[in-house]
Amino acid sequence: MKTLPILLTCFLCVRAAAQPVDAYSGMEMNDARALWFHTSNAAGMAITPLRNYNILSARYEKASGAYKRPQEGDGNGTMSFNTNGALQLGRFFLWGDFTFADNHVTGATYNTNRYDPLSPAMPYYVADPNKSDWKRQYYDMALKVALPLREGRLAAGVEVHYSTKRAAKQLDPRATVHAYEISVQPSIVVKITPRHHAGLSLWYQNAFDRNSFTNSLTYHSESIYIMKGLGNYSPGVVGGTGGIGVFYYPGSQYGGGLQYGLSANDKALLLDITCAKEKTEALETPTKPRRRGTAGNTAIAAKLQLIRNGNHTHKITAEAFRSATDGIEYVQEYDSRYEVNQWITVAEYVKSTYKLFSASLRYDLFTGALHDYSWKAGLKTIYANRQDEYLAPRSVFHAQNSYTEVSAAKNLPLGAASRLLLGGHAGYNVNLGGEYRYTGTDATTLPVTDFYAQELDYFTTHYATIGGSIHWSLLLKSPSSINLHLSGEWIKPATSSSGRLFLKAEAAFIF
Amino acid sequence: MKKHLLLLLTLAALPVACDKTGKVEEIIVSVQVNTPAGVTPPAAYEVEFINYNDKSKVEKTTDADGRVSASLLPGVYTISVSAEVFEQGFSVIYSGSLVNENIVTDGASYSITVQAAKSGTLVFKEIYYTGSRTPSGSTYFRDQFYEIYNNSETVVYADGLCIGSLYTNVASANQPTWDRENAGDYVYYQWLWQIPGNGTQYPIQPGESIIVSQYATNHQTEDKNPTSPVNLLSSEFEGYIANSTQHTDMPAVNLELKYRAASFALMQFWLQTVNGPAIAIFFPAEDTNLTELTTQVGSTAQGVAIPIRLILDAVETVANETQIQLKRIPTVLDAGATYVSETYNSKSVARKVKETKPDGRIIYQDTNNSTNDFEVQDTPEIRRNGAKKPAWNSWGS
Repeated sequence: MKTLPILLTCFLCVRAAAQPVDAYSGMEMNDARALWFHTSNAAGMAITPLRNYNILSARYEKASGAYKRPQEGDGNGTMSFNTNGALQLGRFFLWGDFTFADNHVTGATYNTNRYDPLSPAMPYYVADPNKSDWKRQYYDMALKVALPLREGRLAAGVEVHYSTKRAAKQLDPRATVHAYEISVQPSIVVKITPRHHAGLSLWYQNAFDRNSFTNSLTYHSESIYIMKGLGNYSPGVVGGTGGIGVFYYPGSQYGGGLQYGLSANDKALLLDITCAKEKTEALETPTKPRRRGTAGNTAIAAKLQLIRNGNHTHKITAEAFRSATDGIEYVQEYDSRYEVNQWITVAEYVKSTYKLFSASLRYDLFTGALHDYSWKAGLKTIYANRQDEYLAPRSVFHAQNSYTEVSAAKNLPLGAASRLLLGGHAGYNVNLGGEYRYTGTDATTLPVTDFYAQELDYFTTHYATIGGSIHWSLLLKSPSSINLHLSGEWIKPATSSSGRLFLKAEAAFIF
Repeated sequence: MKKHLLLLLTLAALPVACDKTGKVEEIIVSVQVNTPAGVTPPAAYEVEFINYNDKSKVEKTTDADGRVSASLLPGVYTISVSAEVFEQGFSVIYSGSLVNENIVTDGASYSITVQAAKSGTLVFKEIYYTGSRTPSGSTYFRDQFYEIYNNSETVVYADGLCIGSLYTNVASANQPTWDRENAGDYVYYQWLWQIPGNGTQYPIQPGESIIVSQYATNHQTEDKNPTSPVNLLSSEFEGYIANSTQHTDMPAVNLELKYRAASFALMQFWLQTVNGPAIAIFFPAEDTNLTELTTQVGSTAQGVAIPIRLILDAVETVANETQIQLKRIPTVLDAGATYVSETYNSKSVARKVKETKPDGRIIYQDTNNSTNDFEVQDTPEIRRNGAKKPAWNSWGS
C-alpha cells in the first residue's frame, strides 16, 4: 500500500522538466494560480495545472508557551521531511507528496489515547489529568492524477491519500496508538463551453485507530476518565483487574463535491461545494466489543476562488464550513450466557451535539513577474462559531470568535543568483462571546473544574498575533535552488501575560 | 448537458442521508416495593436509582403502599430499596434491589420484593485483603485477615461457622451459569473453610470479635515484611493447609479446609485475590452437604452451593469504583460493594460504627449494602474501636 505513492512521488521528483518553478516565491504563485488544485476534484488539475516543480525539504517546528489547549502540551517540537512535486507527463497531470514527521509533546494533560486530541469530531476518548509527554510519528502520502479525455471535453482524475500514525504516551497511565487513514477521490470535469467547466468528485475514506493501555507502575491502577463530552464521563482505571481494555476507532467517511469553473481571458472563478458524512465508533476490547460511543458527523463546505492574473495578480478566496456531529451513546448489557459472552446493545440515543460554523474571506495581491512576485500583500478574516451541547443533563459550551490578519512580503534580489524574501503578518482575534455551563451529575470533578475551564479560557479571549519570516534562495542551474527559511509567530492573549511562541526553520531544495 | 448536470447533482446529494438515532429524553418509571407476607411493612421505603456509568443517583421515598415513580435518563441502573425499623430492641433491616437493569422504556414498572432480617448477629467488621509492599517494593500478601464481630445482644458460638470466597475469583461481567435446579437460590464457594468445635467451644460474646487470618503470625518481622501493617499472632483462627511448605502452624486454631477449586489445588496457603474477593459466612443447616459440588455450565469448574437463606453476612469487595456494577454476591445479601482502589496498598475496609451502647459496646452498621456500610481504613487494625478478644483465646497477648 505504501509503495505506489512513494514510487510515484520519487518519479515526479526526478522527471520535472518544462516551465519549472525555481524559487520559493514562485512556489506561492504556482500554488495560487492552480485553482482546481485546491478543490476536491483532482481532474481539475488538467484545467489549471501546476507548473512542474519538485521540492525536498527538512523542517523543524517548535511551539511553547502557556496559551494553549490542555492537550497541546506546554511544548511541542516536530522534525519533518517532505518531498512533493508536480509534473505534466504526456497527457497526464501528476502531483505527489510524501511527509514523515517526528513529534514530541511535553506536558500534555487530558489526553490518554488520541493521536489528534483536538479533533472535534470524536468526543469519546480517554483522559487523565497527569502531565505527560507524548512521542508521535506519522507518514503521509498523497497522489493526484488528472487525464484529459475526448479531445479535452472531459477530464478524469483521482486523488489517493494514505497516512499512518503511531504515538506513545510517556507517563502512567500510558497508551500506545496505531492508526491509519486511506482515502480515494475519483473525479471528473466536463467542459461545457470553452469558458465553463463543471466537475464532480466523490470520495471514500476509511480509518482505524487502535489504543492499548499500560502502567509502568504495575501495582498502581491509574484512574482515568472515559470522556463523553462537555465534562461528562464514565470512571475507569488503567491496570489491575477491571482495567479498561483496548480502545479502537473504526471509521469511514464518504462524500461528494460539485464544482463550477468560469474563465475569461485573465480572470477565473471556481466554486467548489462539498458534503461529507463520517461515522466513527469508539469501541473497547475487540474480542468482546463494548460500544463507548459513536460520532456521526455531517460537514458541508463551500469554497469560491476568484483570480485576476497579470502584472498585479489579485486572488480572493471565500470559504464557508458547517460541521454537525452527533454523539451517540448506548445502553448495553453483558450477556454472560456461556454461548454468547458479548455486550448487547439495548438502546441508543443522541446525547450530545457539536456544531461548528466558520467562514473566511482572504484577499491576496501579488505584483511582479509572471511566475514570481516582487511583493505580496494579503488580508484575511475568519469567523468561527462553536456550539456544543450535552442534551441531558444539559450542558453547553459556546464560543464565537472573529480573527483578522494582514500580511505582506517583499522579494529582494541579492545579486544575480540569490534572493531574500522577507515577510510579516499581524492579526487580532475578537472574542464575540462564549460560555460553559455544566449541569451534570458532579460539578466538582476535574474534567469540569479544570479541563473545560481551560478550554473556556482558551476559546473566549481576545488575542493578538504577530509574526515574521525570512527566506533566502540561492538559485543554482535552473530550475534548482537551495532555500533556507526561518519564521516565527507570537500569540498574546489579552487576559494573560503568557502567550505562545511558534518557531520554524526549514531547508529546502527545489529542483 | 442538462442531463449531465442533473446526474452530477444527484450523485453529490448521496452523502446526505438520514440518521435514525433519536435524541435522549427523560422517561418516567415506577417501582412497586412488596413486603413479604407475614412481615410488617415499614412506613416507607427509601429507593435509590444508581447509574454507575453516568455517576448519577436519584433518591426517592415510596408512599405508604410502597409505590414510587422517578424521572430518569435511559441507562443501566441498580435500583436499591431499603428501610430500617426498630422493634423490641432489634433493628430490622428491609432490603431488596434490582441490579444492572436496562431502563429504557417510558412508563415501565418494576417490582421489588424486599427481605426483612434482624440486623446481623455475626458480621464482618474489618477485611484486609489487598496486601502490602516490602521495603524493597515487592509484593506481600500473606497478611490478609477477616475480623468477624458479634453485633448482637446474645452470645454466638463460632463452632461450625463456615467462611470462604465466592465465584468468580474477581468481579466480572462474565458470571458463570451453574448446572443446578433453582441455581439462583444459591451462592457458590470456590474456597470454603470451617471453624471446628463441639458446638460450645468458641463462644463470642456481644462486642467480641474473632480474627480469621490467612497466616496467624507476626508479619512485621524481618523474615516476613517489616512494613506489613499487622501482627496477627493473636488471631483466633488461621487457614493452615496441612503439610504446607510455606506456612508454619501457629497457635491459632486451624480452620478445616472443606473445599478449594481446582485452580487453587497446588496453593500452599490460603490466598484470596488482592483485587477484592466476595466473602461470605454461614452456619450449615443439618442437611447441608459441604462436599457436594456443582459444576459450571460449559466448564469443568466446580463450587460448593450454599442456599442464600443460610448466609449470615456477605461482603462484595472489588478492585475499584468501576467494578461495583460487576457484582458477584446476590443483592439481597449485599446490594453494593466496597473497594480500596489499589493492590498492595496496606489498606483495609472496615464497617462503620452505627451507635455506641451505654456500656461502651459498639453496634456496627449493617444495611446489607457494603457501599454504605464500609469505609476505607489507611491502616488495617485488628479489634479496632476496642472490640474484645474472646476469653478462650489464651495465646493472644
